[in-house]
Amino acid sequence: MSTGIQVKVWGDFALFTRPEFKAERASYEVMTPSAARGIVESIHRKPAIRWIVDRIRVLNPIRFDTVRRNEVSGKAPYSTARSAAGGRGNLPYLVADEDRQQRAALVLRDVAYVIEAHFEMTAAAGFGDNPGKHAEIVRRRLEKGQCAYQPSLGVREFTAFFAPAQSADLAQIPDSLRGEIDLGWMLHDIDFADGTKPHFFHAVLRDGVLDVPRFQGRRAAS
Amino acid sequence: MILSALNRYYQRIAGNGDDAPPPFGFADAKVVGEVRIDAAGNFLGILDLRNADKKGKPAPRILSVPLPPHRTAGIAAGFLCDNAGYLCGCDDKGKPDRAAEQFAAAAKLHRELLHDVDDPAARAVLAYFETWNVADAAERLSGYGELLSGWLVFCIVDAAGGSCMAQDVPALRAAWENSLRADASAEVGQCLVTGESATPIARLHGSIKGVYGAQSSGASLVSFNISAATSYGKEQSFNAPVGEAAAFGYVTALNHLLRRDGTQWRRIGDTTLVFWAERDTPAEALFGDLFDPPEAPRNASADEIAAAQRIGDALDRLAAGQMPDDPAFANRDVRFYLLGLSPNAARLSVRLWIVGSLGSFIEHAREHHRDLMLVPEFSGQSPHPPLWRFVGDLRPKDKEGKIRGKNSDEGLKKLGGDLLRAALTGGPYPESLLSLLLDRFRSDRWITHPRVALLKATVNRRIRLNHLPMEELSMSLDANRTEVGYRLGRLFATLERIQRAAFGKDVNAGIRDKFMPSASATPMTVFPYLLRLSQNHLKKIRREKAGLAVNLERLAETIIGEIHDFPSVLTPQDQALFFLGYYQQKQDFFVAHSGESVNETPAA
Repeated sequence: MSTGIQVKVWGDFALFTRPEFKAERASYEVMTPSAARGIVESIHRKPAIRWIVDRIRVLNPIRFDTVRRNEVSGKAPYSTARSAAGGRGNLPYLVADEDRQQRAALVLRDVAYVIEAHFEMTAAAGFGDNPGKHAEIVRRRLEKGQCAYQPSLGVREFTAFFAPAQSADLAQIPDSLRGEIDLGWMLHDIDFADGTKPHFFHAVLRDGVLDVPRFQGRRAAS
Repeated sequence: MILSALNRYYQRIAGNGDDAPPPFGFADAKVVGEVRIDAAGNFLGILDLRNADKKGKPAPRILSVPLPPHRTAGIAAGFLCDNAGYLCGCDDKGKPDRAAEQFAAAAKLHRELLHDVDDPAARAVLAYFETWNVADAAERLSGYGELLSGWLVFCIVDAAGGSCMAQDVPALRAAWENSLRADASAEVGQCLVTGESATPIARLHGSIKGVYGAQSSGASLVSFNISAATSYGKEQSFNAPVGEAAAFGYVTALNHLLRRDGTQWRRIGDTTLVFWAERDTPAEALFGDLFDPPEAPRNASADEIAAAQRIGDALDRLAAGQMPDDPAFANRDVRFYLLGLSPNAARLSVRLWIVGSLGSFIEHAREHHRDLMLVPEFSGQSPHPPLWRFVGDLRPKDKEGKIRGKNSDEGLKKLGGDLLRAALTGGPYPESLLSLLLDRFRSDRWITHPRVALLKATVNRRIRLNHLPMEELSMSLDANRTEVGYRLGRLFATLERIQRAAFGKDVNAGIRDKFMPSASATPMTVFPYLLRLSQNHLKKIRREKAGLAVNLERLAETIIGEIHDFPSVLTPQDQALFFLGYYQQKQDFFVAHSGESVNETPAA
């Protein structure tokens, strides 16, 4: 049973934040493998399997736009939240009026991708886990549009819609993306087992297809 | 992509020619004075190094000095170049304790770096730090005024009277470069700009100066100064690992592009745009003029006039729909990078990032200029005004045509950036532009060239991008256009002309002031009355100039001939055509009846 899936993902806005532009956000031109993994994991995730993104196809021309939003500048302290969850102390809160920051963002408009990914079994696979079982689960959930939580395109406010990819989607190449486009160094994923170290890879779009190399970290998913 | 393109640009220009940016670890500082010391370290005075600039004001001299530390509120001394607070222990801010701390920090730094350097200049500097008494510094330096807050360097005067600046001495430069290597950050990782692994990661990146509207002490492009921008508990620039060399590269490249007298930056609205090519090409210096032509200054030198002529020719060809034949633009596949930055307090946000070949940009420039091309309002008006003129004219005006209100710029700043993006990418103008223009026309009734040109460009671009079945608007009057909005605009101009011919310039509130807004929005309510009114005017004209009356009446009849009824409401698109028709008909009157008007025939 094939462990690979092809998911078509689309949305009105997308923001795959570049790590260097976190305060005033700027998006990468295409979806990062890390975001793709996140979308696939929202459909089906178990400790027994680990998702590996193989390829990302870009179906729509790359269009940027800017938005400015009022946000808050601080974060609720993690330790306070942790202890409150454990029953000690009150939950932290933020008063937006005291903490306002206007932040600009360079976002993508009208995006559509096909994510090609496959999964592997991990050491946490139990007695009843086998590739066939999970492949069937994923296929059924994808057909029905089931997900554990709504996937997003980079940031939570930009919702992703997903469906199984049709052959027509796989053949769609916008004119502006024909040929080879060098996107420079792009975030591959974060190695959560190694002090959340980011890994980068050299991204090249060939006829709208981004081939993703194998992740070199010890463990990709947290 | 952005940082790596800037870094590559830095590597291309570093060390090439006099205009080159400083090498790693050094910066071009605006130095105002030098602290003169003799070989034994005795203080001799502070010499003012400023030269008079074009306007006669003293301008600081740009010198290559060791990179000053990026400091905001803390104390961090610079090596061999700093302000009087650090180098002399006395500043003009009235905080002697802090100044004493600064001096101590500076002394410590110089001792660390120079204690084992065997050079008379080094010894002189160290002797100065040993012997200088901070306590009476204030009196000794009282005469120097504003020099104390600017950048100062050391100058060692030897017995024979010759002098040399400390930062030029090779031994001291080498000491600085060695310290940089030793100082390299302990944290190593993969640099996201170059992709190299195990490079030292910069904790703080330098600041970018020269972006309009940002802090004058410099803003950061990559910054994590709010905790909401950090992730996974990482601090400062460890959130985005960039190697020290790459960080220096992109910051220096950007500062170099943004320098005051540079040719590779422009400001439109709130966006500061910088552009550069991937390799050396003569088009690099002219690129900005393609989209934002310069305005020839009043007393232009022969060079400036020639340059303006050159770009004017290229733009004329573009506006006519042809490609420019200037050899600078011959090589069309050179890749150009455009970065638009917007300020937000101490940070910079990326407003625009466009990568494309020179050919594609020339194509977009061609569309842009063809869309904006419009018969001029006055003779001698530049056919290709700079972009800020268009945006500036969108502000509300009062009865005399002056801009009303002081803060009318605020809302337009974003619009300026959006217009620039549309011009550079060939994309649509912001949706709000059409309604803004119609609002302006209705509220202050100034139908000026920049506004109408933008209106024409908006309509034409909409026709082109949405494949509407309408023909694109032409530059001057098109008598064959049948769209009802256009014809009504022409009719209104004709009726206004009739009124003016009847009463001369003594009309206080003509039909334009009283009826234009309603004529453009709801023609059916207004035009029947205006036509009746025009009959009275024509009667008056017939008494003196029968020929003129006949011509004007005939023109009005021709225009009405194609209008079947007056519509009760005009859509915004039709209203746009109304104002365009009005403007073009009015300009046509100047051409045809040059005897009547004061202006000369403008070039069509």
